[in-house]
Amino acid sequence: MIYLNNAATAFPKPPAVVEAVRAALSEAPAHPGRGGGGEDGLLACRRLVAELFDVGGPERVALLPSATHALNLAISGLAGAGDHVVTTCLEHNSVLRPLAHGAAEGRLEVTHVPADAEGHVRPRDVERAMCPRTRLVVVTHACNATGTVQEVEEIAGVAAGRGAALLIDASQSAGVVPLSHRSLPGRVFVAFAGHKTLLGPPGVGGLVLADDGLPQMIVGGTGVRSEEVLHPADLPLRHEAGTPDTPAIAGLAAGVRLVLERGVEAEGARRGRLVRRLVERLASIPGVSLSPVAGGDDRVGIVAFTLVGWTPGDLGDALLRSFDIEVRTGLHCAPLVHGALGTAPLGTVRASVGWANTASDVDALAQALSALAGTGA
Amino acid sequence: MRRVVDIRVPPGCLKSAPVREYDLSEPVDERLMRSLAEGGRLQYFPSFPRPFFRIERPLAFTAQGIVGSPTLRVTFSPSAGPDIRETLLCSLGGGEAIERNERS
Repeated sequence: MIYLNNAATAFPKPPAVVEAVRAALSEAPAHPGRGGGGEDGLLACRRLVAELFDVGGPERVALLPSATHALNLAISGLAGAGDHVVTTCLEHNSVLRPLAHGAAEGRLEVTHVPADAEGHVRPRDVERAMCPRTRLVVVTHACNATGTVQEVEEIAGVAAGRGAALLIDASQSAGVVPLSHRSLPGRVFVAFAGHKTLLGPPGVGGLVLADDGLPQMIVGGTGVRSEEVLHPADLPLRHEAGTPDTPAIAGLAAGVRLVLERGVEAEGARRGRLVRRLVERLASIPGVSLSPVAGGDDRVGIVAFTLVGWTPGDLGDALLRSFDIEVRTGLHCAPLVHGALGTAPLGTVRASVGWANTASDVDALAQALSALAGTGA
Repeated sequence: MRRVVDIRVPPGCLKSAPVREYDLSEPVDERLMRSLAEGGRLQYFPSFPRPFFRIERPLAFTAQGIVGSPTLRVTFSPSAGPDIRETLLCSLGGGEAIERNERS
């Protein structure tokens, strides 16, 4: 199989990740505070993530079950009753739905900033959408449906200038687009997924914390300071309750270590070359339309498109059944962006390269689409 | 005797899309493929890595699959009514499969 669905989850997982998970499951557990000896795997993972995002210290990295969990934690804690939140039409449902629930319950007012034809949200449009009640800006670093990278550094300046917190969804960008948390102005939180660009297993993500002011969402067992009535308030324990998923965390640590060894900029550039190669080949196939139409240099390994005469679902099915090429089709859990880019209601086909893909993989996709283009019109 | 053993809504993020996957008790062969295409347009590509076909029946459905595979993907036209689905079911050999939804 040629796997081009890495924006959903990275596959294959690197051998070092598989080995780390295997070792965590097959060797005696070492849970901090819960018995067992050996190295504190959680701290090791926090240090690596802190290095990746250039965070002030590992205690600023909360390890959570997923990016969705991290986004819910941040949104619920940073925006309260009567607050206004600014977000974008490029967001994943893991942002849109927590905000929609807040709006439906009458707690939040939410403004969605539109994207331009190239899939970018302009920082000045974010600023225009803000009002004195705006407490939070939520923006994806790279849209999962288009791959387009947003100017989060400028948006951080906008949010800081208006006294709002910024929450960055780095689920698609972590490890392929450099991001220095330390250099961003204002109060910035960064949510990340462990199993996508960071190459880890499912079951772990996290939140880079601006400070210790975020309210706790889940409290309970911590393995330490059991005599205290209330859940510890210090970082990162403040946001981590229950037995941690140590195999997944071990795998994430191995993945981030690989990402750092390969180099974030180098891996981003490598994926960029594959994207440009695919975009060039798709441009020569009659009936193929890229989404967004223009651009292509900042798509974090993601290329979305449609083909005349085919629904995205039928096209993805044909690619898989006949050519053994796996892509993703539909709205990609980001419904608003398709209205903006003219691909509603059926969405697009999304090809997304990962650490293991090569030029021959994207060439195979282009060849398959050339063959199918003759069948679909 | 071929029959339909299962009808599934394929996994995906579009619950409203009128797409179904039919699992048959026997693989699709060229004879069935050509009979489904009567009155419509058949595109058959035996030279693809796996022999792919696509059938367009205007105002009814688009069906596609692999000759030799027991699964058929059908996208119904928005105007297609229950009679279209019933006729298709009969064309596939009938069956008492109950349509079920996959988790999306």
